[in-house]
Amino acid sequence: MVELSNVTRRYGRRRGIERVSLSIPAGTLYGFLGPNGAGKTTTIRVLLGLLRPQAGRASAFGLDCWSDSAVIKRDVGYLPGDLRLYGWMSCRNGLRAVERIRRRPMTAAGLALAQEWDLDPDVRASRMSRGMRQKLGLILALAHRPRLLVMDEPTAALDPLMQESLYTHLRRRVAEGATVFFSSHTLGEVERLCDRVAIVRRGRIVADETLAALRARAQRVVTIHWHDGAASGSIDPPSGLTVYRRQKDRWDATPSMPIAELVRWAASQPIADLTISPPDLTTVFQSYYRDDNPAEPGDGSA
Amino acid sequence: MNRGLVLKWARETAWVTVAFAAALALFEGLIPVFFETFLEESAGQLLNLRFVQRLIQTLLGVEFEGGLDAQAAVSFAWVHPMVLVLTWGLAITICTRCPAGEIGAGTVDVLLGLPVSRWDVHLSLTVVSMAAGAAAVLAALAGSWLSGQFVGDEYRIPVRALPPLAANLFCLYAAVAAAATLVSSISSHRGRAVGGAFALVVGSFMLSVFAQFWPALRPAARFSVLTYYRPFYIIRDGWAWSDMATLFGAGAALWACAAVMFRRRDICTT
Repeated sequence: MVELSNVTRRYGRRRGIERVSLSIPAGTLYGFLGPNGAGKTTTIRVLLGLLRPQAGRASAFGLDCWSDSAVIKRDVGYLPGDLRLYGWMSCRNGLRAVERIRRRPMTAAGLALAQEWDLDPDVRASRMSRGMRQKLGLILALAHRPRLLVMDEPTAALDPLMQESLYTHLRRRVAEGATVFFSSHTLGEVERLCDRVAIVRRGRIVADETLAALRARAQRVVTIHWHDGAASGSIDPPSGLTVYRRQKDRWDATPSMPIAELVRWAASQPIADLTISPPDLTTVFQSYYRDDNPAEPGDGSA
Repeated sequence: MNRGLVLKWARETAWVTVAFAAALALFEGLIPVFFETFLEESAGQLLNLRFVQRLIQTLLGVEFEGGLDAQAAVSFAWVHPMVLVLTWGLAITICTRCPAGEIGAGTVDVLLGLPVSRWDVHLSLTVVSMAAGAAAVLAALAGSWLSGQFVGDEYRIPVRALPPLAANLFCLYAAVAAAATLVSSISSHRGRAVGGAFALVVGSFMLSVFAQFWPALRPAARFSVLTYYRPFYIIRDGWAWSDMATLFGAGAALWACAAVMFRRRDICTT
């Protein structure tokens, strides 16, 4: 669906993106995660044909993102990160205007979305709050039912209920066959929403994996409370359990052994309580952002 | 061309077009009446000043002996600095809307997120700017014709001269619009684009003015748009095909350059 191959785009001396390679299959909810200034928006601008790559190639639907941009965008819904709308634009007349430009009916679907999201269709953008403008931007990006949705930090300015409604909507679209490219700097929403995630750091892709693979690599924390504190001193942990904090009646450890084996071992010990945390993705993501990150590949792709 | 884009920009520029067109109509309507009164009552004392004479000669593109006669006065109505400012102002206001205006306002992300090529954008804005220019020129023509009904014969522009006058003014508008489009195509801020375009046309105007006072500059005056807009000769001789072709040709060349620049440039709002 979307392919970026060694795409480089710099702004003079300023860093943009460096040899970015991505492959987004159709029907994927693809998270694009990175801190501010990492290169997320630059990548999106290349995808939309706003910036021309200085090296490499970007394509969508098999077409070149620069030379065939107008054709590609027939099937793209785009929500910019820093959304600015025309002051005269209300939901109703905005939908009509975009419908005329797209030459594709979308007003009825857009107004239905406005009703679902509680947006007055006749208020002009110049009088809208930031959240209302964001809803209008989302409606304009979604109403023509595009095959590819490119959303640059779409939940900014949305309240939690609206965020949840957007997630539901995006999941439904993906179930219907659409592809979502979801840029964010918030790990939580990417973790909740996406099937696959690429992490961009300083203009380079440092990871591109499924959430399941990342979770498999993420550390869990095992906490053991002992019945008899004195007894814990004589117990040796199994080889797949690294105890990093040992107290009289409590161990904190990270397992590298299968959880089932850990539970079997624990069942034979005098323990009062055993807690195994869910995989801690935050630690994994933070490891990619650290300056000494060994995972950062030289060619920018993972 | 994209009909939706044309309608969008027509909506956004409707009021400014109406305002400029009304001002042009009003000015063209009032100035013959003013001259009829002024020349008869004040006997052209002001016009005896050498500097004022030179300035009017510059604008008319003709040298006249003695005072300003009726024919020169009515042609001056079509080349008065206010008419030029209104015509150029409208062209620059509309033609700097995109890309410079849209990039500066940040709305270009929404605009170019739609399935339109940059050529569509360029062509659609050109259609809107040409329609606005035509409306303004027609308003000026209507004002001129209407005022002719209330002044004496010698201060009335012959009806046969009105179409060629309007056509030449439109060519002037088109040339300035093309220059403004070119400046806009390489700019990311509307203010800078407007400033750049105004600097170009004012520079062109000043070239004509200085050429009147400094003969060494006269060969350079061929690069001034005013050299190709001479209402005095149009009223006297009819259609100025050569001047119109020059303005139109220069405009077309600048417009084509603008299209190439816009198609090749990167668009970035941050």
